[in-house]
Amino acid sequence: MKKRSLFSLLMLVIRRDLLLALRCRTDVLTTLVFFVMVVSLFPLGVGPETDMLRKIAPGVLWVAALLSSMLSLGRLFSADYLDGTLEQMLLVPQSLSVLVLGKMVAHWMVSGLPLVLLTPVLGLQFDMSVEAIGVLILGLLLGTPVLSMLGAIGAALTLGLRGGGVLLSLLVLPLCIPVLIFGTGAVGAVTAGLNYSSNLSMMGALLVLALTFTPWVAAQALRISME
Amino acid sequence: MAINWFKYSAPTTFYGLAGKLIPWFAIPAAILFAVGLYIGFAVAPMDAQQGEFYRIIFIHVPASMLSMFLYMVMAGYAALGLIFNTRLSSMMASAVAPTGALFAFISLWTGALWGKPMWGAWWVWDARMTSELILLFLYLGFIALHASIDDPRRADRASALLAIVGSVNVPIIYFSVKWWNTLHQGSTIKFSGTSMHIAMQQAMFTMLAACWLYAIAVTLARVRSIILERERHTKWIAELAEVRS
Repeated sequence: MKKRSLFSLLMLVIRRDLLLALRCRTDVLTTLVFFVMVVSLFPLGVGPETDMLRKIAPGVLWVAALLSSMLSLGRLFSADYLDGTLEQMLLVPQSLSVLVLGKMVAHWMVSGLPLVLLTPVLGLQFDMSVEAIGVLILGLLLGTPVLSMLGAIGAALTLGLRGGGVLLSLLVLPLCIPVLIFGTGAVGAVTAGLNYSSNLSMMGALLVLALTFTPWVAAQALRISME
Repeated sequence: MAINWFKYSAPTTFYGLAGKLIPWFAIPAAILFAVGLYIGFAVAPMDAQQGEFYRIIFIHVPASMLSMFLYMVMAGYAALGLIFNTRLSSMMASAVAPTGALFAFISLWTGALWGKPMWGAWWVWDARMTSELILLFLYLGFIALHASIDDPRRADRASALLAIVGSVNVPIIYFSVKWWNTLHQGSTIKFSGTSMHIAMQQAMFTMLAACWLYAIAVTLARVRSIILERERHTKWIAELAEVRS
């Protein structure tokens, strides 16, 4: 068999996972509906005063994004694990990290990107200003990939365990706190009339850091779980 | 004569050594606790600003320091276990974890007890308190992951990886929480940089030493139990005097 280049391997994995997600659309839609529902429950819980809603909006949207990404993480490796594909992936002569990176990117495109695209509508529900919505979207664009990547480590570690879903959240949520802080901090800065670029730069730094290390760590975790 | 540095890295030999070492740590710990509490409650003077309430720091500060140190110790042992594939290092990592979690909990609890009279609130979202809480979550995640994997070797390796990822993340979390806090508001009361009374220092350092010795003693006791549990099918365990009787 011809040995594939790393980039074409990456593209192959992403295309395959996206195709699988397209064939089974309910999974994607459930995550989206969950996100919208959680966000819409907050005004019912805290009351419809626009001042308060505007203040809590970034936090609510971020926490909802965090929770809905947790929801879909369980599926990241489990389907491949159950039908044996994952075992074959471990045997591939190319780098496992690249395969894992491909799965992370596909997971983000399926469960992170739609949330980002929906955010403007939900932001309007909370009466956010256009500028604040713009910064929120930028932050989510930088931050949700980090959530997918950190989550992939947790998903790999809890592969095939009983009660894996709850355990996954327990492991991953504390690690996601910096993303949450900088993401909501950027929106808070913009509404307070401050400079928000420092927060977004930190998010960018976290993204680069995660992009560098998490595929490798998740690959190691997969090897531990599959041995 | 060449010293065999790795002699005690085998559970077989370490089990006996740990048993012999425990009293050497446990008894000084008990004495130092008694001395430290005596100095703390009877000798150290009342604080000018905080009255009698400040005395809680004699347990609060050592507990916080140890909870952070022990995470690094745990991650270090876990990394050793993962890299060199030594069973004992992984056992030590899982023996340290409950003590670290306990100290994190004590630190939060005493912090709340101190915060109520001083700040008027059980809990404020101060940077240190928040990161201590997150540290407790990290400990609990480590323990939970280890407990939910049946195969002990896989459990060791998986939780080791988690501990290492956590230890990389701890500084990031700490600084992000710190900046987040200053973004909202500065902490209302800071520890003033005034010099401590000498008796306060003595009480604090005695308690710190006592907590260290206690932590070592219980870790050794716990690692002995873990060795017994994991190696229960081996011959040398069956031949131990305390097992046979």
